Amino acid sequence: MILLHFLVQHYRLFPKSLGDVLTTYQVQELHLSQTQGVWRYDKWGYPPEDAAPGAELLVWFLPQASNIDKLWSDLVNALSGLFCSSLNFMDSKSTVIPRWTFRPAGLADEGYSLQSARVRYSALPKEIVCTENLTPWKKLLPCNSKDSECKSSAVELKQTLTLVYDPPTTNRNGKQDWNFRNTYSTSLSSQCPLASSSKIFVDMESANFAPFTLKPEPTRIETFRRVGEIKKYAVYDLKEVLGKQGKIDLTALYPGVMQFSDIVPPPVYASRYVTGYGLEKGGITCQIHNTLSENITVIYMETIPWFLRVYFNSLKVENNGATIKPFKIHYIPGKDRSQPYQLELVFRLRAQSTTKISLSFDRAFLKWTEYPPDANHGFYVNSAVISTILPTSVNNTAVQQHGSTIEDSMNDQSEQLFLRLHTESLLVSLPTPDFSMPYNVICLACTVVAIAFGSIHNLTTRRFQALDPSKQKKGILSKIKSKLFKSSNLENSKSDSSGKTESEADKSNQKDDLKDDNKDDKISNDTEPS
Amino acid sequence: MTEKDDNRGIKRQHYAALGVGFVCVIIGLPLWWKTTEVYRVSLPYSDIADLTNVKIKCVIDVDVINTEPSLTDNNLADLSRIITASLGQGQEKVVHSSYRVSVRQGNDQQKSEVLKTADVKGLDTTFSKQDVLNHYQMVLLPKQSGVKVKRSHVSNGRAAYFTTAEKDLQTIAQEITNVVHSIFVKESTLLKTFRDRITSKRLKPDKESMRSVKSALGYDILFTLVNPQPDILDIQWDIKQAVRDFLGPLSEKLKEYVSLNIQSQVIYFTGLYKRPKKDSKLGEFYYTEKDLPLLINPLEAKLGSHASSNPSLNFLVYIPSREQHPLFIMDQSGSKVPSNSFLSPRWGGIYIYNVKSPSQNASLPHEVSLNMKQVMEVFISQLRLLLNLNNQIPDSTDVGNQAIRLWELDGWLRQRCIENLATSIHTLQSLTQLLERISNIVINDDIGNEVEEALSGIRQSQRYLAVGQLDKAFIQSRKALAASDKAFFDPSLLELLYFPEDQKFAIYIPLFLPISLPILGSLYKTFQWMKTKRKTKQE
Repeated sequence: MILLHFLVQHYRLFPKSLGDVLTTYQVQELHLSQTQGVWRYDKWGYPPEDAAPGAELLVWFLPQASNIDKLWSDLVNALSGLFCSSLNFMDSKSTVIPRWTFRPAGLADEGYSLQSARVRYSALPKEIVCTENLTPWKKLLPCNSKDSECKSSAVELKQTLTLVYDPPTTNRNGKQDWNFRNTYSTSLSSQCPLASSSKIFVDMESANFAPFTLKPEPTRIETFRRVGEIKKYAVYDLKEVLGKQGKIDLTALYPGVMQFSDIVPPPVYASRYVTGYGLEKGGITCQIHNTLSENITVIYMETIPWFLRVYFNSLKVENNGATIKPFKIHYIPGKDRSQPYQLELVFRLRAQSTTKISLSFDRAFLKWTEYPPDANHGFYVNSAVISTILPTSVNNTAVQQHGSTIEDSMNDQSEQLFLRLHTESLLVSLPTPDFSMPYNVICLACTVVAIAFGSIHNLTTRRFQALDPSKQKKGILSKIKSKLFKSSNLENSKSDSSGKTESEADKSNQKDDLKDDNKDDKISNDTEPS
Repeated sequence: MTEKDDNRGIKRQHYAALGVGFVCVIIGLPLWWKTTEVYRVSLPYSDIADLTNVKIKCVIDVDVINTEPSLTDNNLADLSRIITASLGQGQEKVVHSSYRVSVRQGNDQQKSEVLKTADVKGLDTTFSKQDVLNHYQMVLLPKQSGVKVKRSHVSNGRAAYFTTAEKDLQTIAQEITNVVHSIFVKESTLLKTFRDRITSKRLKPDKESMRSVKSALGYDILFTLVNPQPDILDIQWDIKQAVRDFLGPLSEKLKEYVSLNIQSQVIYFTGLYKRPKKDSKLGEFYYTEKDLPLLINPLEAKLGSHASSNPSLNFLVYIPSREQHPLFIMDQSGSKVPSNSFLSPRWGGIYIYNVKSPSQNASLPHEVSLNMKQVMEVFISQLRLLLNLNNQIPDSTDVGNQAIRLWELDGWLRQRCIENLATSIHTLQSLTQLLERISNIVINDDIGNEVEEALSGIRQSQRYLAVGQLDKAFIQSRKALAASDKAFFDPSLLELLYFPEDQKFAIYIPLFLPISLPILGSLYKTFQWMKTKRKTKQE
C-alpha cells in the first residue's frame, strides 16, 4: 500500500527538528555557519571549515520547489527559531542569487548544479555566535553533548565546530603546551556509541620546526601526500584508546618557550577595507595577494547593502598599476529598500603579486525608522567571498569538497584543491540624524505657521484705531495691574525708609494709571494706617 | 473717518472673522479628520451580533429496516409514530437534532441474507452496501435469526441490530431511541460542546473535553523512541510498517476532513529525570500516579520543534535503563497498570516498554527489536481518547486495527463541526468587541474579507447541517474557523495599537492651540457684535 495522502517521516540519527524544516521548505542543501571574530588567513593559514564573520546561510532548493522567495523567507524564520539567532533579518534586502561562486557540495546532477536560480545566499555580519546558539546546535547531535558525525547514503548532516586557541598567552610559562583539560576543562571519557568511527587527528606539520611530544601515544601516525604536500597526522582511534585507558586527556608538550618568527603567508589571502572620508562618498577596496609562482583564476563575490549606492563605472581591478579586464562580470544593481547590490567577477591573479579591486559608493539617507537602535555604531557590510582552485595544499587541512571526514582527505588523489575565503566584514557609518528631529520639526513648522496665520488673522479681523485713555472702560487686566502695584506699594512703605524713595518714584510713574481709579486709592489710603 | 466708514469697517472685520471661522470649521476640521483617520473596513457587526442567538439544527436520517416477517405494515406504521415521538424532543435547545425516520420492510434479499448469516460480520456485509454518511440503519432481526444478539448490537459501520424476540413495539422503539441518543448522536455532548466554546466563561470542564485535542486543520503525530542507553541496548523498531498497518486505515478515513502529519524519531541519552521508587522484594521499579506529571516536561524539551503550527500529539516509547529495569506504573490501589502506559491530556502518551536486559557477558550493544503490535495497540487507544473517540459500548464489534468506526466518524464530524462553529462565532464576536473598543486599530481589506468568509462559512455550514449533509457542513465549518482565526490573529491589527492618544495630542497642540485661540476669540466677538446689532435693530 502506498500512502500518498499523508506525510510520513521517520528519523533515527538525523535530528527531527531540522529534518522537519528541510522537508517542509523543500531544501536540497543547506549551509549555515556562525562565527565570532575574524580568521586571520595571513597568520593562521586556512581554517578546516571556512566561514564568514557573523552568520551566513546558503540554501539550494529542490528542483520541484516553486515560489522560492516565499520558501526562503519562511525558512529563515524557521531557522532563526531553531538556532536562536536573528536569521529572520535575511529578507530580500540582504539576499542574493549567486551565479558562479557556489556549487552544491552534495550529490546533484549537472543540470541542477548549473541552475543558479535555485540558490539563495545571505549573510549577517553582525550576528555573532554565542552560547545560546551552541545549545540548539548541540541538540542536533544524536548523542546530545557527546559529539559525533551522522551519515547515511541519502542525507548528510555535517556539523563542525572550529575554535582558535592561543596557548602561549594563556599558559603562564610562555610555552605552547596544550591539553584537553585546559582547553575544554574536561578530559574525554566516552564516545558516542552510535558513531561508526570517532577519531582525533593532530596535525604534526608544525612539529618540523617546533617539535612537540604527544601524550598518550597516538594509535598511529599517518603520513600521506596531498596535492603536492607531505602531511603528517597523529591519529587517535577513540574506540581503541578509551577501551584501553578509560579516558583520554590529550596533551602536547613543547621543550622550550615559544619562539615567534616571521610567518610565511598562505598562497592566497585577502584584506578588505573601507576608503574615503566624510559622510557623503566612500569606497571599498579589496587586496588579494597571490604568493604562488603561477597565475590563478579567482571568483570574487561582493554583496553590498542598498544604502551604499555603488557606481559600477568605478569598479577597477588593478595589478601593480596595470588595469586587468575580468573574464566575466555579473552585476545586479541594488534597489532601494528591496535588493542589495551584487557583484561577481572572474579574473586572473598574476603570480607573486597583489591585485586590488576597488569600488566607490554614495551613502544614502535612510528614513528615520530604518535606523537601528545604535545608529551611530555604523552599518555592517557582508564579507566578500573569494573562490579559487589551488595547485597546492600548503597551510590547508580542509576536507575536499566531495569528502565528508578528515580521513577522506587522506586518500585525496586530486591534483588541485578548492579554496574559499571570506574577507573581513566592513563597518560603514552613514549620516545619522538627531532622532528628536521629527518632533522638533513639527514644533518649529507649527510655530512658524501659527505666527504667520496669527498675524494675518489679526490684520483681517481687527482694526486699529486711536483711543482716548480717559474714556476707556476698565478691563480685568488693568484692574489686576492696579491691585498688584497697590499691594507692592504697601509692602514697600512698610518695609523700611530706604525703599520709600523708590516706591514714591513708582507711585509718581503710575499716577496716570491710578488717577482713573480714585476709589481704589482711597481704599488704599484707608488701609494704610491700620 | 466718518461714522459710516467706521461702521462698514467694523462690519467687514466681523465678516472676515466669520469667514475664517467658517473655513476652519467647515473645511479644515473635516479635512484634518479625514486625512488622519485610521483605515477601517466596515464589518458586518450586526450580523456577527446576531450570531449570539444562532440555533443549530442537525438533521439525521434514521432508517428502521424490518426483517421479521411477523411484523405487519400496520405495526411498522405504529412503530414509526412512536419512534418519531420519542426521538424528536428538545426543539427549543440551541443545538438540536431533528430526525427523519423511515420505517420499512427489508427487501427480500436482505431478509434471506439475514436468515442465512450466523454472525454479526455477515450482517455487516449485507447492510454496509447502503452505508451513507449521517444515515443510520436500525435492523430488526427476525426471531429465528442465527445471530445471537443480547438486546441490541452496534456494528462498525452505521448499523445497529435489534432482536425482536419477546418484545413489544414500545420496547423496540425505546431501544432504538436509546441507541440513537446515547451512541449515534450524543445530543447532550453536542450541546455542551457548543455552549462551552461559544462563551469565554468556561463551564465546569469534564474529563472528555479536557482530554481531547482542540479541533484543527491537521495534527502532527510524532512517535518517539527514547533510548537512554544506546551503548547497551540497540533498539530496532519497525515504525514504518507499524504506521502503515495501524494508522493507514484511520488516515484513509479522515483524509478528506483532517490532515495527519506523521513523524517518528529516536532520541538517545535521554532518561526520565525523576527516579522511580524501588520495590526491593521483587527487584522492580515503579512510578506512582503522582510521579507521572513530572516525567513529561524534561522529555518534551528533547522532542524538538515542529515546522507546522498544527497541534501535535506525542507518543513515546520509553525503554528503561538497565539500572531501572523492569519499570512499572502503579495505580492508586497499588497494582500495576496493565498497559504500563499513561496519557497526558491534549499532549499524548508514554508507554514504558520493558526490554529483557542483556546478560552480563553478552557483547554490547545488544540488539532488540520491539513488538510493534503491542506498542501500537496502546497508542491507538490513546489516540482515540485524544481525538475524543472514546466509546466503550459493551454490545459492539471490536474496533480492531480500523482505529475508527464509521458511526464514530460521523459523531466526530458532527461534534467537530459544532465545535468549529462555536469557536468561530466566539472568535468573530471577540474580534468585533476588540475593534469596537479600541478605535485606532487599522482594519485592512484582508480582515474584512476573512470575516465575510467566516460568516458565509458559518451560514453555509448551518444550512448543510439542517439538510443532513454532514461532510459538507464540516468542511464549511472548518473554513469558517480558519478564516475567523486568521482575521483575529492578523498581525496588521497590532500596527497602530501602541500609538497612544496623548502623543497625538502633543504633536497637534503646537499647531492647533495658537491657531484656534485667535479664531475662537474673534468669533466670540463677532457673535457678540451680531447680538448687539440685532438688539439695536429691534429697538
